[in-house]
Amino acid sequence: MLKQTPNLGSSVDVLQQQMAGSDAVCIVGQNSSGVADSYADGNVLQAPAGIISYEPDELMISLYAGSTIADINVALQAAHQRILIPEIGTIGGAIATRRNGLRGIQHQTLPNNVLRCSVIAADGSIFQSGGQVVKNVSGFDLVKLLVGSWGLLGLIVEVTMRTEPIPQASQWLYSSEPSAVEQVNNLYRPAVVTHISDVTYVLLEGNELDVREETSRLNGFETCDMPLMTFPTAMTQMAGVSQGLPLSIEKEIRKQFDPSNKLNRHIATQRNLLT
Amino acid sequence: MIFGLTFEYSKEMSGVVHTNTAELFLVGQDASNMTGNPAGVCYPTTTEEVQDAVRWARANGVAFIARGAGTGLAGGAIPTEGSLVISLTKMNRIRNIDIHRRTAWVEPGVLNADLSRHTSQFGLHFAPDPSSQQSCTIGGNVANNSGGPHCLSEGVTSAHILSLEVVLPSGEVCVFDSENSLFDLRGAFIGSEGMFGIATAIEVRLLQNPPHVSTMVVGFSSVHAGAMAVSSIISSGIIPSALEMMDAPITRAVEEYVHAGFPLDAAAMLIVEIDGLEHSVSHGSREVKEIVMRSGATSFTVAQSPVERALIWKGRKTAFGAIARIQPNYYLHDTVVPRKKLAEVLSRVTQIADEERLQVMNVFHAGDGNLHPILMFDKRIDGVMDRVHRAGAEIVRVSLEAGGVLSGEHGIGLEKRDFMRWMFSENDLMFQQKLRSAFDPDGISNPHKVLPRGSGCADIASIPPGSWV
Ligand SMILES: Cc1cc2nc3c(=O)[nH]c(=O)nc-3n(C[C@H](O)[C@H](O)[C@H](O)COP(=O)(O)OP(=O)(O)OC[C@H]3O[C@@H](n4cnc5c(N)ncnc54)[C@H](O)[C@@H]3O)c2cc1C
Repeated sequence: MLKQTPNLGSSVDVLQQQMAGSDAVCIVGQNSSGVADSYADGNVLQAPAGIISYEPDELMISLYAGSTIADINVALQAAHQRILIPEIGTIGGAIATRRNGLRGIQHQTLPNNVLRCSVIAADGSIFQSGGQVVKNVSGFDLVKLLVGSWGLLGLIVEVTMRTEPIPQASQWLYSSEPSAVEQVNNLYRPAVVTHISDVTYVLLEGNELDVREETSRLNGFETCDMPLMTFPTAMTQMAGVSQGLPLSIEKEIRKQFDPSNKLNRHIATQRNLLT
Repeated sequence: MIFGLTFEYSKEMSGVVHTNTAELFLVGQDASNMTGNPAGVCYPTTTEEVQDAVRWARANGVAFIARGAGTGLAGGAIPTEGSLVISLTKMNRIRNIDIHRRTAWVEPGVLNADLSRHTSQFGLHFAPDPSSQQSCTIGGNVANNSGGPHCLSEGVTSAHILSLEVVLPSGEVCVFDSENSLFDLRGAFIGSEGMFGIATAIEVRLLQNPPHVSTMVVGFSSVHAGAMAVSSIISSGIIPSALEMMDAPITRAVEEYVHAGFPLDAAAMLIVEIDGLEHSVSHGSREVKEIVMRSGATSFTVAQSPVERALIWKGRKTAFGAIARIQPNYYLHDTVVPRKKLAEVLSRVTQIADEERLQVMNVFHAGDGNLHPILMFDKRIDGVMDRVHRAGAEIVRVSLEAGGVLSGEHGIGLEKRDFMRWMFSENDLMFQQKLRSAFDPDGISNPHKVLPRGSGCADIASIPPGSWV
């Protein structure tokens, strides 16, 4: 249970003050990961919600990080575009937990699609990284670091995401034939391939005629809806186990970004990142 | 730590570290206009030898700098005075290729084009294709997070690197991958311009070669019309695999020596490439043709064979070589603007060059909004460098004003270091410095690059003489 009601709708400067004035902070989106359930003390902070600007022609959207993926999808679908993130929780939460969609799990699309982040640091100051353009190597890449940082480095308040056109056709197929794996491997860049138990699932996307032709090339496959999959949401499904030198660097980064161990202590404890 | 210009190489490093003037002269430069003054250079062949070199530098209070092919344009590979250059050119083996997973482990000194040449027998390639791909290294690509024409649809280097083996500035070696840390240390390292340590092995993602490709060359009567066509293509929902623009002066210069059949009467031309499955390519090309015709295209041709396609790309990628026929020196800029601002910023660039009485040419990754204005000059002319630098700074300012960024692919290095404050606040820079400190607390790995002085930077050594920033 949340100990305090999240500060829904707080503006960025109010959040900055709250961050600066707190000894301990738990950052939540919609709490779809359950992070705040086991949370014991301090302030619960949540980024504001809303679209800041959406430019379909530039394939780019800027948002407050508390916007839900569901709300974002409504705006994107009107322009026949999408972001490949499952419809769970907020965009800030998806970024902080590196929650890729099906295709993203395979191709790690999320880190490449976050173009800019604006963050409230543990001391209440704001820092930004990235830019509102699709290509950028100006300075060190704090955006990559923030994707998957589980609120341990700051509260992401604003983001700019790359969007993409929704493809003309899209078809799921499955097969449990022994040859399925190899057949799928020979396809030209299918959108998703996944194996659940002994069943091979494949998603074909693109031009309608291509999808039809590729489908007919597959032997022993049946069409189906998207397979039921659980997306990694809970903390138990966090990336690997940090150890050795990578863990020391992570600790050092954490010490630099949050010297007073203020942010998401419960996660830092679990990941051995308290300094 | 004592930093001395006259240090003696200890016994174990003598013979390993070369100090002759000719070699030092070579590794004191890159493709920028700056020169540095290193004290020695070594050519390790294994990760352990890189560790030895780093440990030695550490023990002697000397900065070190990783060096690939030295094709960087922002001075990233310019050594600070008295530092040790660790050249990776002899670590150039492809360690293994996993055809099934479509991945490969390569050493940092492998040349970009060699990798794709080698994997073509399996129908695979490494997507990032900088114009310098015949000579730049994968290690350099990682350090600069390099791009290339085909990064429009496939993403830049970062999207194609799965894991990295890195010798840290402490001399220890570790692997960054998706399994062994919570934070994306791999992602943070890519683009760190040699300041977080040295990549000694790189796991790359390989892509299937496309079964169908269509390469179109489209002429326009003005740069403005060409730029507007770029916006129209992107906003129509087509993402070509490459979308490049060349203006008339560079087109003429290239055509004279490559004979690629480029339209000599056009004020600007686009190279539009679409690849993939049969129908998406034919449908996409038809749509592109309709869009460019609506946008006022004056010519439209399609490569009829792989040979013709290769010639078009040869023309595009050797454009810089063609410049030498016009002026002895050039300065290649690199900024990014929102695609809808391309036309406006390009016309400002022409104005800026006119005001400084410099010739300018444009050949660039239009689909990404990634400008590459090339200022041409003869540096023997008195005062010309001042004009070149003034124009460069103005191009950067205009790009930022249009909502753009400092660099799309060449990096910050020394060249744009002091412009960082134009784009970032002190606090933004402080957090970048914090990240650097976590990897390199003593500031000995390629010091004094990227972050302007005063942003909490604790790097040792001094900046190279002759650098203009
Ligand atoms: C004609 C021309 C065209 C170009 N076209 C493009 C283009 O289309 N796209 C593009 O992105 N760039 C382009 N470049 C720039 C340049 O080629 C790239 O930045 C390239 O990736 C640099 O590779 P390199 O091996 O030459 O690296 P270097 O120049 O040797 O080094 C570049 C930086 O990387 C660091 N470094 C090198 N190796 C390692 C390593 N193993 N570990 C850690 N750090 C390392 C160095 O310290 C330095 O900071 C072009 C350059 C030229 C001259």
